[in-house]
Amino acid sequence: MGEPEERGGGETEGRSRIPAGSVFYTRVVPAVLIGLGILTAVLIVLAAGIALGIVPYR
Amino acid sequence: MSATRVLPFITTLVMLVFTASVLQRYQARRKAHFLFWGIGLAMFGFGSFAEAFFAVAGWSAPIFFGWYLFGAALNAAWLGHGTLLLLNRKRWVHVLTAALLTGSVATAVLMVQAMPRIEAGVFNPALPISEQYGTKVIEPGDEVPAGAQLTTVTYRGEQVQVVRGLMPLGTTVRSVTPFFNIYGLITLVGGALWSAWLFLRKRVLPNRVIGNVLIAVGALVIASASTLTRLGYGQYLYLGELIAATLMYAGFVTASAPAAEMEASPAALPA
Repeated sequence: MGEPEERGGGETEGRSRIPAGSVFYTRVVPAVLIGLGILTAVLIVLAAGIALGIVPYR
Repeated sequence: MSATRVLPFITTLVMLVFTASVLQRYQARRKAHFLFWGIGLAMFGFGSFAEAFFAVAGWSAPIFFGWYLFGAALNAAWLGHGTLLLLNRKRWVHVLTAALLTGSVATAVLMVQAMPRIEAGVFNPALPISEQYGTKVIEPGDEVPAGAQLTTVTYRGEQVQVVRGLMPLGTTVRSVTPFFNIYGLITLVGGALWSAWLFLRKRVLPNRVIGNVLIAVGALVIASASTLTRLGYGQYLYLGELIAATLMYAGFVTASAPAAEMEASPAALPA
């Protein structure tokens, strides 16, 4: 995944690139990533509540 | 058979193809993360296979054992750990590997201990297993599902009225499941989002950005459905599994597209 990028910028040469002016990649995708991150955090808190007995599940 | 009961058959087919794809990569490259992903996906697939099995063949204690252990307790953690192995190769990750293996064995032991207490007589072939595996306490004002078997039991020193389920109140193995799922959620979804962000920041490999987003969304769908099931809303699990399997496989295929010119990973593959 992200590993090759961290070895040096030269490794990104020759690969397909994200269009510079793309609204989809500059606005939509970052917003989606943030939204998914928030949802993940909510689920983690909820699951932790279940694990610790704070949220009743029985 | 209702439409809902058909969903696990489709999910099982999707997971069969998905698992085979990832294990083929492991066979070719011998990287540990592919092995953990393959095992995690096989566990997921066994869970949906068990649901299909219950729909056509009725009750089976060994299948229930596998459904809960692999489908409910362990699969997310194994998938997520595969992602962690891909993203981080430091020594402490191997400590977590040992902890995951030990925890998985311990959970299997807890499941073995739980099996004699399973109330197989409660099983209703007309209901999804996700709606009848747990015993639910009826609080004042709660709606009692049609056909539910009510009884009164003593739990932690108090008399409570319950809808009988296959696993009695206080079954220990149920208390450890959330810890595996939290770990799987953090590593699987977190890894996918992190990977997508890295490629986005570098402005390269858009297929990997989209692939990881699809994997994250799929993992969140099944995590949400599983959480709802835990809270007593099991009717969404089968649909959630099918959506999750489809999105994660689509993400894997997208991230692995030849145009990327690099090793495909589910976590990258994903994630």
